[in-house]
Amino acid sequence: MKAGNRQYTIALAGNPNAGKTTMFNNLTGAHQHVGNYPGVTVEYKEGYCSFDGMDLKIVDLPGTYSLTANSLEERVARDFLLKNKPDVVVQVIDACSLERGLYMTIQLLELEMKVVVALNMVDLANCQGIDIDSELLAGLLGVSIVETVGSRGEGTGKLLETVVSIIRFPEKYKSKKIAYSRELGAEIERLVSVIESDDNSASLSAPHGWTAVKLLENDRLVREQVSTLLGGRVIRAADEAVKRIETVYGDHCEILVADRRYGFISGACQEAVRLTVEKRHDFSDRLDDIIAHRVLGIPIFFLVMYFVFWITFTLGEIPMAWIETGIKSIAAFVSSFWPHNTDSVLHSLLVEGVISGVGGVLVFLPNILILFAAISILEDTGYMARAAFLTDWMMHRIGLHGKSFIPMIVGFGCTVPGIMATRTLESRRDRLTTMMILPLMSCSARFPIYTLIIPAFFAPRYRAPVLWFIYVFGVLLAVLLAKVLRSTILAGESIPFVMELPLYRMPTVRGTIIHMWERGWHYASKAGTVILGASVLLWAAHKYPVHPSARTLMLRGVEQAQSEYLVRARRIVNETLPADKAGAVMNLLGKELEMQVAARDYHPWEAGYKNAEKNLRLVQSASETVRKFVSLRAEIIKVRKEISDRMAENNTLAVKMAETVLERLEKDNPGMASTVLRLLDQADIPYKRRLLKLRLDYSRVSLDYSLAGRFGAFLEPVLRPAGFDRRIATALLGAVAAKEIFVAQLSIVASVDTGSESLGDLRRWLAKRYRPLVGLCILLFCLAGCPCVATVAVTMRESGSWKWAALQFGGLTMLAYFLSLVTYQVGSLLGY
Amino acid sequence: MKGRVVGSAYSEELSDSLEDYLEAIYNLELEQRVARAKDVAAKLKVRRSSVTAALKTLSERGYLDYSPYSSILLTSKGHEAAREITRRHEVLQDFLQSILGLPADIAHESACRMEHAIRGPVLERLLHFVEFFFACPRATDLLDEFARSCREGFVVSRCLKCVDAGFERLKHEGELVARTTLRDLEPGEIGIVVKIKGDRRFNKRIADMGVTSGCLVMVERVAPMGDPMQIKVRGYHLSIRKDDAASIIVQRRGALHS
Repeated sequence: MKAGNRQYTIALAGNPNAGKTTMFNNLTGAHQHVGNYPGVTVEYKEGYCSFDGMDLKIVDLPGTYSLTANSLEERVARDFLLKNKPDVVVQVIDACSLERGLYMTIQLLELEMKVVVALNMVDLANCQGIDIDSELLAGLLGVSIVETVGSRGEGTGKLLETVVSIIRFPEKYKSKKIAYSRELGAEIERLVSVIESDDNSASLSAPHGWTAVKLLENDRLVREQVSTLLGGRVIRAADEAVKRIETVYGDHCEILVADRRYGFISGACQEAVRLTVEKRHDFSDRLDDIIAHRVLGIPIFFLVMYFVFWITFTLGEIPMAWIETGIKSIAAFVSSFWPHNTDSVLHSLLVEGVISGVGGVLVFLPNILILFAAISILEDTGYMARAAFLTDWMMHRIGLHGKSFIPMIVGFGCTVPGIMATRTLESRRDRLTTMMILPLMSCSARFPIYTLIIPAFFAPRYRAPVLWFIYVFGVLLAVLLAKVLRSTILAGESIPFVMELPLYRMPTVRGTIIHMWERGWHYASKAGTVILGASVLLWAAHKYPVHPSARTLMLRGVEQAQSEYLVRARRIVNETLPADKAGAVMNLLGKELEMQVAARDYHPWEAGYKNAEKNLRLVQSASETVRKFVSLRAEIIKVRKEISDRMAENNTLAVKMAETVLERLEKDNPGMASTVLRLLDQADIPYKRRLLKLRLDYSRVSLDYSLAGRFGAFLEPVLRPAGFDRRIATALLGAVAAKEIFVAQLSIVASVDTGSESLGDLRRWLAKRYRPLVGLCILLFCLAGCPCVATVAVTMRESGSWKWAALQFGGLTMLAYFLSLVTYQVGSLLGY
Repeated sequence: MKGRVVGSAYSEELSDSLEDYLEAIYNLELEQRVARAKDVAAKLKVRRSSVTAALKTLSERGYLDYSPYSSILLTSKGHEAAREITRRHEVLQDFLQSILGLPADIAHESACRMEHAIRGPVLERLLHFVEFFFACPRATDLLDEFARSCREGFVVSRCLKCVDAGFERLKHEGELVARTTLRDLEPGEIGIVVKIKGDRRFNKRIADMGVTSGCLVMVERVAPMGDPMQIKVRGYHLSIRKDDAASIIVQRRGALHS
């Protein structure tokens, strides 16, 4: 740190909404580093800048109103000041709420910090008719004051100049002490002398005067520190002093101290602040008349939420599609280094494990970036506080803060950005509770599960109500769980909901972009790595161990199917065509099969593929018979597809027309047409069906043999009472990677093809195999249980501990199991 | 109490009987929406012909619109004059009935006669007396005692008890009126913080945010579902839950309506 040029530490302190972040961005530009304070979730930001040949490290302290250690943020800020002893503290004060800002200044002065006040947003204050004589005020308080306008970067240079000159000439800096009232002042002095008379008083890191005031304020942490470091005499003296003061004034000591501080500030402001115009309803107040209106407020809130939701998830789909395409082409590119039909482990690891894992990480990025741009704007404009104001009545009932509402709404889109959005919550308890219950909001990835299961088991008129029930039930569970958490592991008095409603302001583009970038990077670097690792692990669990003979069996099966096909085709061709023509057609069919094999085994640019292609083309153009056969077959296939498509649409007229076309084709080509038709019906279709079956069986056997499949089988005895067999269990395991994978995984264990876009086969398979009660259990389990890997990873990163992530995963899964168990058992008893 | 102090210029030009007519028409209008000559005759127990003559005079002086055989309509001048006469009547009847404790019928009859005689400053003073008396928290005690002395004669020994009781109640009610909690202030109302009586944690937090005793707070609005409330203190806005606001004792200081 002190290599060559000494680096000086500047702490940036201030109230929330005072423009601290903007100031930090102005001072450091892009040279910042975001992290957490050790052991706590409070975010730690530092940045660097050099000015006038001096290297400065700027540490952004959490925004607080006081340094009382009421909340984690205040404690973190205070500990930093006490332990790291920054060279200068720059305190950002919103000029519109000067008095409250100065309240913190006084506390900084009591800590004997060298304070430079950045009197921010003086332009706004002037507009409101507040005229501050900052020189006079600086003299009265004994601090340096620099007027700034953070949003336009005004005053940043002057601020740095002042900071540097204080570092260079510390002797010039003289601060003043606040004069507490006579009784209070006397008690403080007495206490200071008691502390000083203690032998160990030098071991206190804080100034004695400050310690004395804190003791009178009944500060728990300071009391603990004093009682461990110093003799009991000091604590006893403090208790007596508190008792004396409280009997004289008949009020709590901590209030009296705050009173006196504000009194001192009022005195200073009386002299230095002039109200030029009578303060009347300004723009912000008038805006509040609409936005926080008794009737209009909530509709406006929902409109804003809808808009945020819309741009996050609807607009976010566009870049998400780009990412998916990009990932696909990268996978194709990587695959090109291996033979086409490879079973190389490295290939599978890269393509199915790593690349799709990276895709799984990146796919959330558009949502997160857009959402945080929106949240940043909502916060910077001051709307977020109004939203909390409007929704607090609801969240209050479940023991949460109004600010939890927005993450929960976002959770309906995707849990991952929802959990990241809990950052706006100040209290750790509220944050953790919200994180824990967030997976119960049905995210959009669960929708495919619902759309698979519900139509499979429920009659059309029950479908909508069941879907509705699942969503609402999730919310109810969340409410219940929040209550339980608040009264058990996350119990404790909630911080009184005293929240500032800052003035409305224009957000800055720069601030929004920095915020968005910060979150995106944080997600990709912190949570992304965990998600990637977990995806690779899950891939391995689904791949290994490899079934020893499944692949060979499948290949052998394919060969057998091919030779059967040829035998069948030969018989048909010989029966329907004269010998010379039959030979030519058979030659073609043989080459077509070879082409299929080549396409399986080689990349298009390899010699094997090219040869097969060339041979096929030679045969196709070899004789008139073959040409005619190929074109007739193509036409018949087209017409048949037309017929089946129109039949699906119930368009009888079009079907009739297509049938006439088919009849005419048959009439025009008497021999050849029947050959084609018989070939299609009696050779092609059975062959294709056989190949599909082989492929599906191969997937199923491999999955059953893999760790995931075995684990599913292993879980069966546990899950049986909840209505699930090993197939559903395996599918549920797949859903851990991402909820929507449930559907794909289920189709594998069911050996049902879902490639043709229709889920009908899978639904029929489900309906045939299971009772509707099981369907309901699946829905409940997918609603509550097994949050996906990304959710768990983000929770782990955001809570700062794997324990909360484990609790979230384990707890919710237990809850889901319990719900399905009870539902299944009760349902079975009732005869469903 | 009732009505405001208005100059009684109209009554100067009207005779006692014309005032009675005006009052009767006004009351009929209130009772039946329209007044007819025969109803007026019936109410005042006079002959139709004298009613017609009076109506004519009143109409000439611009108090009402009247043509024979139609209903009578008071002009705005007539309305004002009638209201003034009625107010005089009510003040007098109130005084006689509520303060002197006379029975209603006697009070009414006497008021009818007195209302023409009592004018200007005397009436206003009497009105003020009635208003003052009912505003005073000791009024009920005084009235009870006065009524008792009317029945039983004056007993000096009762005075001390009456004073004590009045004093006690005054103290109690005075506190109730002046002190309330922040929770109970309506939007637009301003209070001075007297005391914060929550738990220590809350006290500290709220004091840190600038709500200290002696400072002015204004309730700006209440959230749509009635909780929390938005207050303004030291020039900035805070949101505070009603349960928390209940532990901030304030003294009402009037209201500021936008």
